[in-house]
Amino acid sequence: MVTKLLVIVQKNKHHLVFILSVFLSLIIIYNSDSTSIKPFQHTINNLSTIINSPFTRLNLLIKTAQENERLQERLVILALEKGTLLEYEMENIRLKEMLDFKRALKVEMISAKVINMGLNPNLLSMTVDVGSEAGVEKNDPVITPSGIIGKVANVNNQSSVVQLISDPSFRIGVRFLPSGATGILRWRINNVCDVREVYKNTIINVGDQVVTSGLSDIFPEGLHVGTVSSVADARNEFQKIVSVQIEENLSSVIYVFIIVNEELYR
Amino acid sequence: MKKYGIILIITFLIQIIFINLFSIKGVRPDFLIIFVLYFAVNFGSFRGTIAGFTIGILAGLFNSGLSIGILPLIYSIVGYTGGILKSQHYKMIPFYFNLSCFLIIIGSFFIYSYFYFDYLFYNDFNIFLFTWLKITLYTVFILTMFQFIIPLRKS
Repeated sequence: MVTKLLVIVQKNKHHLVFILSVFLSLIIIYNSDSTSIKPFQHTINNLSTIINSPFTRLNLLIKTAQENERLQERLVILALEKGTLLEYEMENIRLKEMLDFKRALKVEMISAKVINMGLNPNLLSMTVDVGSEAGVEKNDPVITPSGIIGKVANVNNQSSVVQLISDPSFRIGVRFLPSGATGILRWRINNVCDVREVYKNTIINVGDQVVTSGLSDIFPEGLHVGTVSSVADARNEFQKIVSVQIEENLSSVIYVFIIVNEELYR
Repeated sequence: MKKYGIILIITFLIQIIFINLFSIKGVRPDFLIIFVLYFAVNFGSFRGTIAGFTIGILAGLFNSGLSIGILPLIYSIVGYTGGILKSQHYKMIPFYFNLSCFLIIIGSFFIYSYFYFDYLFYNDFNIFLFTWLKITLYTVFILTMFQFIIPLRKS
């Protein structure tokens, strides 16, 4: 009987191994947040950081040279704009004094360098070179000068994994300006995101600014997200679908900023 | 076997370090799935599945730490189905053999896309199809290039 069973197992070992592999994979998929897996992830992540570091630095040098050239051009343009802005600043100070405006926008940020962009065929996450030692915590918002690009998903001592806005499971509560309508933004395709919870009678135009609504615990209010690229009415629904263009090219990001202290912001 | 070990290490390093050089609008090819397919076609379903699962686990852990179970799943499927083709090397006509290899990759990426883009699958199927094809065709293109250099039937 045992011999027969062994023969059957031997004959079908490839089927059995396949079933076992699929079974184990599904267990891992549905337990990916398990604390027993995290230490392995942290160790491998640190190893990945060490392997990548020389190439990251080389890549950084090349990109920095290109960035430098671009910034020099930008500097000339900004120098021209500076004069006008100085005038506006003076006017702004005068008006603030008149209105007794309290300055609310105080954000404590740390800059971080991207050291790994994952192996997936599509870009869903990236690893940055700052971790809990620098004060980073899980769910801290991650931004660039172009707006929000994600949030911290895992924190190691000296590195953190950022879940990018391009991850289909990523959601942000957003507000449209100037209408004030709110909704939940999720990634669709090619730097375009959708917001579906907007009533048809709300007036939203192409080019309107999209900022965080502050209704969630993760993202503070008023962070730039993108601009409205199209507005369409959803069929058989009371809502419209608003497409939002994300300005940052995620695959070429070198530096990001992590908002580590939101209390000051609020 | 030793040759495949060295190729695996090189493939892994390419996938970890240089993958962004191949990035087109955030879409990157998956060299590891191509390796698993070649391995399975040469060594059969048993070894192919084990190799696929192990490589998938390692790749998942290196993959910035999010959703590590999906890669072992699809690599195991590629290892298993690719291994079935081992015994068909000389029975199938080349066209159907190559078509089967491509279908394995395309099918595996469908499962991958389903797990990652389930929101699109249920809400915007056209966009789901586009996303799936986009990430699949890049890897299929690379596989086609490899087919010219090292044909799967003779690897």
